Amino acid sequence: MRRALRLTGVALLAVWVAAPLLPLLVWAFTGRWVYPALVPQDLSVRAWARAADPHQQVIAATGTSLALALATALVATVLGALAARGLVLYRPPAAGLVRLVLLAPVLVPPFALAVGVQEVFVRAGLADQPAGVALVHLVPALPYTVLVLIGGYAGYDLRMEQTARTLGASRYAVLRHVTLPALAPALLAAATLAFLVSWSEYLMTVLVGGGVVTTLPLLLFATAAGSGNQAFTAVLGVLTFVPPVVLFGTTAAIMRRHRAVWAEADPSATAPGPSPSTTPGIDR
Amino acid sequence: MTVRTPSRTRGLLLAAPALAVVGFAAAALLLAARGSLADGLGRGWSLSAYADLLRDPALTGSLPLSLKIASLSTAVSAATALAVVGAVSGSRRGRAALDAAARATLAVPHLLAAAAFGLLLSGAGLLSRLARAAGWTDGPADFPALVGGPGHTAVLLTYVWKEAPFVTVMLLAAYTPAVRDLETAARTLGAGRLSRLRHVTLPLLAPALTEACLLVFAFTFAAYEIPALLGATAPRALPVEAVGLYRSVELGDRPGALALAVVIGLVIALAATAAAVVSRRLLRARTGP
Repeated sequence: MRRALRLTGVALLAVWVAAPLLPLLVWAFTGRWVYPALVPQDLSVRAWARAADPHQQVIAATGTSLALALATALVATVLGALAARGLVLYRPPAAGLVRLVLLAPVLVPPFALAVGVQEVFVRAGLADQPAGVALVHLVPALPYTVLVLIGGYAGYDLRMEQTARTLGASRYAVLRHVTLPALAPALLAAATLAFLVSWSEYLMTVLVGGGVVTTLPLLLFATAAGSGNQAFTAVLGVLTFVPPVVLFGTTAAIMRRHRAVWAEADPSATAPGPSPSTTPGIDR
Repeated sequence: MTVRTPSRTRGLLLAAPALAVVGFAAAALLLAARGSLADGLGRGWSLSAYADLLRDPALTGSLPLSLKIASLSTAVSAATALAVVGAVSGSRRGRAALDAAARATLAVPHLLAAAAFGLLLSGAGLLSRLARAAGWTDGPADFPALVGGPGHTAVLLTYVWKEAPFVTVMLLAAYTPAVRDLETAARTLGAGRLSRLRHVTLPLLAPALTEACLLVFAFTFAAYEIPALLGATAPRALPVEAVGLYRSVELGDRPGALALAVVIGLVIALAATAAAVVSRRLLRARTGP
């Protein structure tokens, strides 16, 4: 009875996750699938060939998306780490308020931010440029890295750094052998989230990029909204979906290994750390 | 170890670059608000953009629609997440499976979810084909207009599909060993499953639930992709209407679009205030005056 209940639960979860995604995967390899057939009339990789055609801009857009997301992940993680370090280890005046201010951008409506930024950029001559788009992606990504790294620093002991310095380690050696290893899981989780925020961003890219900056979500939206070409929509969907899945899988695997290593050395080191379960809002 | 004043200001210095990014965002929002208060040529001060919004029937339909989409998505997502978390609360493995499934959907970008649900729910979509195979409909026209229909059903379904897992992850994160210990204690003292849920689990998860609801509401109220792809053409959700106005070739529409941005921001600010009040009450209820 109990076993049957559990199996039903797992099946329901699987259906929930797969219901929209599985048809997408089938559509991506479909040549003809006319209503009311339940299975495709024929399978083909034509849509993939189309995606490989340079005229469709898919490869270039994937490159732009990756570059933007990696840049956002790097900058947001560094800024988030610095801010978290300042807030947690040095307890500056008004630390609570600063924390609130840094987290507030999760609530900012993307449309309002985009049109405001466009007003700024038009004045500063930054409009319709990749650098401007990267700067806008940074705003919604930052709260996640700050939140995750505050969690990471919560279990961090500044005395480890001081001890290493006393023993003659250079600043660089301390960063390389003490700070970064201790914060590795939090840094990784933060960078993953920031990457996802930028990778999924559509509206602000469209409005601030002014049509000059083309990313994968822009192509996906245009195809899904206008073309009626389901197979091509599905191919773009799969291309949008695969990097986050690979990233999440890799991050989870690395964190498991890291946890195992640290658990042996010092059980307390991982306990308050930012396990991915403390990271809300992957999708904002 | 206590840290003295000089290094306390150093803490602020470390936070300065991140604060600069937020300052940039705040300046951008202020400029947008300023632009909404200009006349049609973008000069001077005028409330005409807001007066025009009130007169436009398309726009007066958008605000209630977006409020409806956001509150329904939030309520259904929260109820689903609570039910699921409550159902597996007893088992460690159940929680792990739930966490994995919720995480899998969190990684899916909203735009992709919209495209996928479009393929699933449209007139010629898979669900419509299944309905025809089962003999319930004769063709795509018979199938209820989930996509692009006046009920915005596909929009709501997509939001629940994306946000219920989000609320679930937030609740599971708040489901600490301490909460489990209190549940065990209540059970030892003879509390049943339901009364444990009502008097122990729910009150302890309430702060996380409030926070999750605010984030879901703010997001679903302001997001563009899903209603733009799956919603009806009239009335359109507020962000869709705003983007349309912003892109219009008429220069005079610009203050109107900026005014809509301000309206969206104000609604979210109100929701955030309400959530803050609820959180404070919850805290007081738990710790006493």
